[in-house]
Amino acid sequence: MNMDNALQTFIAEGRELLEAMEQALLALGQPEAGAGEHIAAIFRGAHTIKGSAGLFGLEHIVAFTHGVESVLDRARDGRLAIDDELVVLLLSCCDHLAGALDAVDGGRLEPTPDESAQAAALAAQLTRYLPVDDGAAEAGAAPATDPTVAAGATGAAAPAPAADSGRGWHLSLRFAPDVLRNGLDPLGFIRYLTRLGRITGLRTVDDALPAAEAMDPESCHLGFEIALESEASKAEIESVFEFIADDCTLRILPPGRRVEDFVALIDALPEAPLRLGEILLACGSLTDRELQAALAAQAAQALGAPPRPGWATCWWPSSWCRLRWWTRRWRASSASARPPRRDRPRTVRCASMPTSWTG
Amino acid sequence: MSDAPVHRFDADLTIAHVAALKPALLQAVAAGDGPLVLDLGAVAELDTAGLQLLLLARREAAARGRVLQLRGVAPAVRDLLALSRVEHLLPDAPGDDA
Repeated sequence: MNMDNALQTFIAEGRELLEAMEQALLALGQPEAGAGEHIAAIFRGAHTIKGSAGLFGLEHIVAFTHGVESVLDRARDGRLAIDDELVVLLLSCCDHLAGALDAVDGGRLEPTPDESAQAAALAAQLTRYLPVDDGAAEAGAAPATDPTVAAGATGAAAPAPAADSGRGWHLSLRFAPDVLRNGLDPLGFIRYLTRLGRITGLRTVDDALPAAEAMDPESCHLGFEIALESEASKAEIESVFEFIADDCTLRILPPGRRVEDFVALIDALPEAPLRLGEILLACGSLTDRELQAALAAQAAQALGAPPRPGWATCWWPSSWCRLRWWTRRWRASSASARPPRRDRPRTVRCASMPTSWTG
Repeated sequence: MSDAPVHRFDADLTIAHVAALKPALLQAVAAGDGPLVLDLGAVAELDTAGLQLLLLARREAAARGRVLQLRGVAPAVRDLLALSRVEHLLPDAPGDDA
């Protein structure tokens, strides 16, 4: 598994899902259509793309798809009727996502200012289909001109979320079997680590525990994945584990890490990618907390109201199931076996969209 | 208080004692069903070796549809359980305030 393969699979899967979403959207206009099934299929597509994009830290795609998914969620529950205008808007959103995937395919993992503006404009239109609890409808319709919301909607239009991400380290610890017999206690070193900063997430990885009878209790079978918020340097963090270095494999992902760092870590660790994705997500390292804050802020401002209960947190459990699904596909499929998304002229255009976006 | 069976550790859950503690612990897990209470009243210290023994027992218990519950957890032990984020896997026994 290398980064190119993983990303290529994500892109191919994403294109397939977008195509399926478009077909379902177009089918919604057919009188005999089973609307519920189509809406559910569209929702699942958006949900999957969001979860997979999160795996790669493509935060602008996650944030944008979150808005799409929120509208679809209401339609799925019957709280919102999908009319032709919304179909057109959602098709435009699919186009936008296809463009974002093309950009990733071309090696560009962050949106251009134009793409960010487009995302913000579409997100603003989507908010019209979301409830405005306190009657501040205009506030909800105006986020395209609000730079804060534009940043929230696109993830990378402004570097604001990164201001805090400069402290988020991820540490991955595995140990030699003899480390305990050598008189070293890994947990003691981890406790010492808290002198350098705050452990914001941690998972004790016990996947390597042998069968009960065979398990030697004096051998170390545990590993730890740690999200650490610290102003310390890499050398300072490494120095915490200096005494245990001979019996410890320490991998450190620095703040501002990139997709390739994450994929390299998964490659290097003994656990299956599927399992690691869950662990890293649970640590909060895979999708950092800045993203959650951005999503919460986006939801709050897009709604012109405080976040609805669950908005800021709903991303987690829902993405888990998709992450699991996608990682399974990732492992099972070869990267390049899938045909590219069929390119064809778009016949439907959002009335309020500048022609330059689609022309 | 429940009348769940109780397994009491008679030594610290550390590298020095885990080999001696393991057989009886696994035996307690394998015997009977329903919740199993682990009495840590005599456990002043927990280290990585003790933690992994608890996690092994927890896995074995789960495989039998049992849950493990802790009683008499000393502050130092609780700190380590909190640090390693396993408190949800090894909850306190009902009615135990320690």
